[in-house]
Amino acid sequence: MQLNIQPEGQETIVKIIGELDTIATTEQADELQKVVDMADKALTVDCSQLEYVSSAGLRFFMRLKRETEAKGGSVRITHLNEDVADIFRMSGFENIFQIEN
Amino acid sequence: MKMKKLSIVSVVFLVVALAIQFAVSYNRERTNLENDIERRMELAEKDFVFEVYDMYDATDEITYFFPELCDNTEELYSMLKTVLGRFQNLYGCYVAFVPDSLHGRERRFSPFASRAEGDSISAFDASMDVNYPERDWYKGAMQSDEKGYWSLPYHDGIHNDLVFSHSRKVYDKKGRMVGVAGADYTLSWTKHKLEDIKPYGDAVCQLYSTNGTLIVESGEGDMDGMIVMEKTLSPLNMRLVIGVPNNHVWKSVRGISLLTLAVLLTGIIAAGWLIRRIQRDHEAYARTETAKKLMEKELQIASNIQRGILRAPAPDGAGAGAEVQATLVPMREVGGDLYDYYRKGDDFFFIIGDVSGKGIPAALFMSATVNLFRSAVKRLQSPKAIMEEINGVLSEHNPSLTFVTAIIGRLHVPTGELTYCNAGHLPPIKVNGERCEEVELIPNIPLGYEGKFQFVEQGTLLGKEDTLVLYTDGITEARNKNHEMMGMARWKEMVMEGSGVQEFKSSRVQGEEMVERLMEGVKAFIGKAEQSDDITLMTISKRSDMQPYVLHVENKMSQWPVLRKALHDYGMCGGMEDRTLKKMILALEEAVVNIVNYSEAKFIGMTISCGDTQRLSITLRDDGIAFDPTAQAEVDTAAVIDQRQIGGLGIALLRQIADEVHYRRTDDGQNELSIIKNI
Repeated sequence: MQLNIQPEGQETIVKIIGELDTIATTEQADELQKVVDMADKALTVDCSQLEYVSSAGLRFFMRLKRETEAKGGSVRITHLNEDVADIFRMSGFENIFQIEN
Repeated sequence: MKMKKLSIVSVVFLVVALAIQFAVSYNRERTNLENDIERRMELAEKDFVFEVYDMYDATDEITYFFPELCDNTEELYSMLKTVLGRFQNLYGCYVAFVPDSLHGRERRFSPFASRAEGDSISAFDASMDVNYPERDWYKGAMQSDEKGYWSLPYHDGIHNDLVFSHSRKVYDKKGRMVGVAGADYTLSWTKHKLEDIKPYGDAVCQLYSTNGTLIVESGEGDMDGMIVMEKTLSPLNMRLVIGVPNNHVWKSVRGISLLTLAVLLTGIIAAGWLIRRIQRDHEAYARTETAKKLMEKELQIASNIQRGILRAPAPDGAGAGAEVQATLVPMREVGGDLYDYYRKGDDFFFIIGDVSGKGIPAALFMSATVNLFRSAVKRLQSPKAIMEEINGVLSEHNPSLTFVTAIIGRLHVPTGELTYCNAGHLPPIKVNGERCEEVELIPNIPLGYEGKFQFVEQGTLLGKEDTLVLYTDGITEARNKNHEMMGMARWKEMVMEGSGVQEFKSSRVQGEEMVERLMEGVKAFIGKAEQSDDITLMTISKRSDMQPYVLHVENKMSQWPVLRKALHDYGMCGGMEDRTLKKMILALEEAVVNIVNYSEAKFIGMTISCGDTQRLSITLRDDGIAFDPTAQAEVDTAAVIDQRQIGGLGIALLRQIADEVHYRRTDDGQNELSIIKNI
């Protein structure tokens, strides 16, 4: 997994490239923490190149949501591919996230 | 051995033939000779009879005139001279009076007319010179009847030569027997006669008197070993004997026999020469046969070696997820067609090729190509690289400019990605569902010409039900009895039929059965025509009836990629849709994370299987603490986030993705979780 963080005007765009699975969330916990640390900002997570997400990945999104709500930021998820969107749907996450295409 | 026998037979034949010929011609010659002698003797008899009858006639005439003249001496002389003059062959005519029978005469009186030299005839009284009453002719005549007496030869004391006489009694007017009348005939003259009748100079001709005395003979020598014939000359009662040396017969026979011998010998020599030649031909043929048999044996060995080089098709020859079938029917014992394949990890490599030319030279190139492929495929990954390496070596020393057309391919079994490189070979046919298409080919060049040629490789996909049909021109250029060529169109139709499209509405027939069907089709097309080239057929297909895949790993999250890859590959091989496969991977990940995090197990065992029920089944076993994920309460995904149990999310996803999830604690104390997904 690769993270690409880029401020764009008022927003900060976080691009997740590759797979966000158990191993990635474990091994790259520090990098993911940096994103969580930006919870006071208006975050847009670009998932156009997110190919796979597991429950560990979903947990990351959950943490991000909680932190933004706590720190006054926001999180917006864009460009989910069909596979990942399926996971969001199955897990009910599509109901709790603001998902755009 | 045969020659000797033939020689003996020839010699025996020759001898028998000669003997028969000899006997026949001897008999014929002898009969000829005997006939000749007989004819001569008959002629001689006539002559003799004619001549000696002069004597008879002469004595007859004398006897006739005698009674009137017997008293007149002068007239008697005159009469005798006249008679002698009339019979040219006679030498003398005479009368001999019975001593003291006539008055006024000497006691003995024998008037005699004689023919002297120069045919002059003189007459005189011979009683002075001859004591005639003692003579045979006198005594004989006295004792004989009116026909007279033929005397034995004798010297008459007047002629130098031997003479013989015919004599008969004479009578006076009163009918008293008063003497003997006779006529002489010289035997020297007779001798000439005998000479005349001799058929050969060295023949012997003898004349015997009645009492068996040899009167005269011509030629000398005894008649032993001669062909002797005799004839009694009537009415003289003399015996004429002719002896002819056998060698005259032999000579003729020899002449004929020699001719025959020459002809026969020529014939036998010619026949012998012919036989010898045939025998030589036969020996040469036998030698050729032996050499041929030896060569056939060596060819058989070569054929066995070549068959040994080719991989025997095996059900799992292509490894998991793929199937390969191949058959090669060489036209002769050995051929130039080739195929080979090799499974390396997830990649299945294959080659099909056709060496130009036929027989041993092609076979040598064929085995070189196969071995080069085997060597290269272990080290190299791309068909292009393998092709270029083989080409480099084959081009290096190729004085005969033999070349190989080939296709080398690599099927990445999990994905069905097919990478291939062509070297002037025929396009493979891809059978896909209801379609049958030629795989697009960049020709490049055949192997063996230009060692530095840069080959271009291509790619395509081989789907779940797809079969790739590779072949050599022995199929497309096969000809039937009417010299019609199979051709690409007909072959493609055959492939469609062979794949079962018509029967099952899809290409359901694969692998061995398909190859069998196609080969039957090709053989049926060729029919009674002769196979004109090697025929090779290879099919490569993705397998749907997959064998279970079993894997054991340590119970650590670091092993996850191994499990994940195994499932991914298996799913790909099984033809699972990419999206479904990704979800199953997610399900598996959640299950594995659960085990890793909570079970304290040492290992995880995974079995993936895909029966023909079209269900993908993953069974996980671990030796950890008993834990039944299915017993967890359903996570209410609709519930607000704050109220949710984050920990149950993974299990929830697992249960949502899978169609069935089963748990059981096994007898040997293991957790067994089965995740089943209908495909």
